[in-house]
Amino acid sequence: MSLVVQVRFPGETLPPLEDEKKNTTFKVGPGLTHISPSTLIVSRAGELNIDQRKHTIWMESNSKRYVASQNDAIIATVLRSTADSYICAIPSSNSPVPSASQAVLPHLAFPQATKKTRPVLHQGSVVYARISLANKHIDPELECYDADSGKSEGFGELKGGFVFGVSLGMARRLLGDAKKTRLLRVRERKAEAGRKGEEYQDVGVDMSSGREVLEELGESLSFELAVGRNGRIWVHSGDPKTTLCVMRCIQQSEFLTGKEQRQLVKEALKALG
Amino acid sequence: MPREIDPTINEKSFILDALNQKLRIDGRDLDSFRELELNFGDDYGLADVQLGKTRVLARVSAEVVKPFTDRPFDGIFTITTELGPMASPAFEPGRQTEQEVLLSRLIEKAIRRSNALDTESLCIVAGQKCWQIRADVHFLSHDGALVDASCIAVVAALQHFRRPDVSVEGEKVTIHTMTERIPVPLSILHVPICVTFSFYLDGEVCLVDATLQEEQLRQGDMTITLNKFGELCQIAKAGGLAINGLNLLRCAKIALVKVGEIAATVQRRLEEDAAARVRRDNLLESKADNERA
Repeated sequence: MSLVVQVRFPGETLPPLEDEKKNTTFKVGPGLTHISPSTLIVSRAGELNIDQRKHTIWMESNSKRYVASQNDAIIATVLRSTADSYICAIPSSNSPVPSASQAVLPHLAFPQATKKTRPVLHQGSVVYARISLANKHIDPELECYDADSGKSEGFGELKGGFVFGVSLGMARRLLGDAKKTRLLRVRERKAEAGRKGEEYQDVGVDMSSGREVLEELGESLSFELAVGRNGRIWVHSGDPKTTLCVMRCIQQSEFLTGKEQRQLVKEALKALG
Repeated sequence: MPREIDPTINEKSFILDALNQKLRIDGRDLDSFRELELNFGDDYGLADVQLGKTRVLARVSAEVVKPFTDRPFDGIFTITTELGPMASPAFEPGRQTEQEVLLSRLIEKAIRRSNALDTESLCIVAGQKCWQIRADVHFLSHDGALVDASCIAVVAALQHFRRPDVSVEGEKVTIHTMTERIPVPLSILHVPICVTFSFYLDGEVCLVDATLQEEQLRQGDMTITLNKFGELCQIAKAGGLAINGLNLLRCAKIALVKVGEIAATVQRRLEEDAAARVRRDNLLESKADNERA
């Protein structure tokens, strides 16, 4: 990549943030530890990302173990039901043996659910849910509706299909995070050029979305897909062959460029016939 | 207590559906093994077997001890297996589960009880001194087929192992160091290999080398141990779905082919390792049967 990426290692202290406006508060994301009053220490190796517009700062790196954080859409498995809630497991991508943390999904956390009309989930059901509460010391809480509209918006039980794991970085990329960070980089460079009084020159940033595999698959196959930020992906199509083809393409495309992803899908489709 | 999560309803029905159409999740044929990778350590008697994501390490070591009083002419051979949390968070240290007991007994029966290692050759002075050969099996990663992988690991490590040479003069026993005299390979009588079959859909589908996910869903399993000459060492079937004789014969036939392939791979890797060792340590001169000009 032609862009300068800021790679940081654990233990490094970040230089003081350059503020465009004085006295703004920054939100500190994963991979950084804040020591008051204003020191930031890197706690996870990866790329440093600073979003000056949203005033956020975080480290980006790939991992396999999922740590719950609020508002993440995840794919969970129902373990059992209690008087007023389902106890769920949040499996991470960690294959072959899934490690899981537990979460609570209240019976009433479904759109328009009442005590009588709540959906019945059995042990081993798969749900697509949003984490409504994530706290370090207690089990996270889940919700199966959109916070703004109160409607399901795709959340809820996932019926049929197959669930498999990918790395957390891959899951984020499939959800479109890669494009966001790339746009961010371009913006950073523009701001930098602006400060120096130079004109911004396009250096041919790789603006691929990182999820060409899905775009290409979606053009010729029909299937449903849900990506959880915990590194689990649910694929459903009528035919096991198609589902397996989608699964393999996604799993193999992790380290491929956009072009290679398209090539991979084309070959897979040819083999599928 | 940490537990493995059972496969979800979706996974369960999908895998069985796919099996019904003769499809496996990882794209293998029903009767094919995952790619077997076998590596040896720098010193003798360390074998590292990888079967897909399953990884097993076997370590063979030797010690001079007093033989059992009822068997004064035999050496001692032990195999220890322990499933620890390194393989899977579902395994607890120190507590033997049923799975672990079955596993260690299967390996014990396959290798020790089938007389793969000639224990009589381990005797140094009858009733006084003999070699104790010990094989420690470590499970590093669990993705199914632990029996098959550990059996391969142990037989490979046994064939790879060299014990120090000994000389006996009357009552005096001298153990020569590895540099003083060329270490001696163990006398291996035959090479048993295990093949585990998993049964699904009331015995209609039978899989070789099932992954962890497939193992969790199987209705029954059976382990056949053969050596490459086709001599049957054991058929182990601890409960589960009953299968008919025809199926058993079919499995045995598949096993024979698989055992041949695996034994050939082990042999090839052993030869490659020996060749690499000769190059590395310049062993050519120390060979007794070297060509003289």
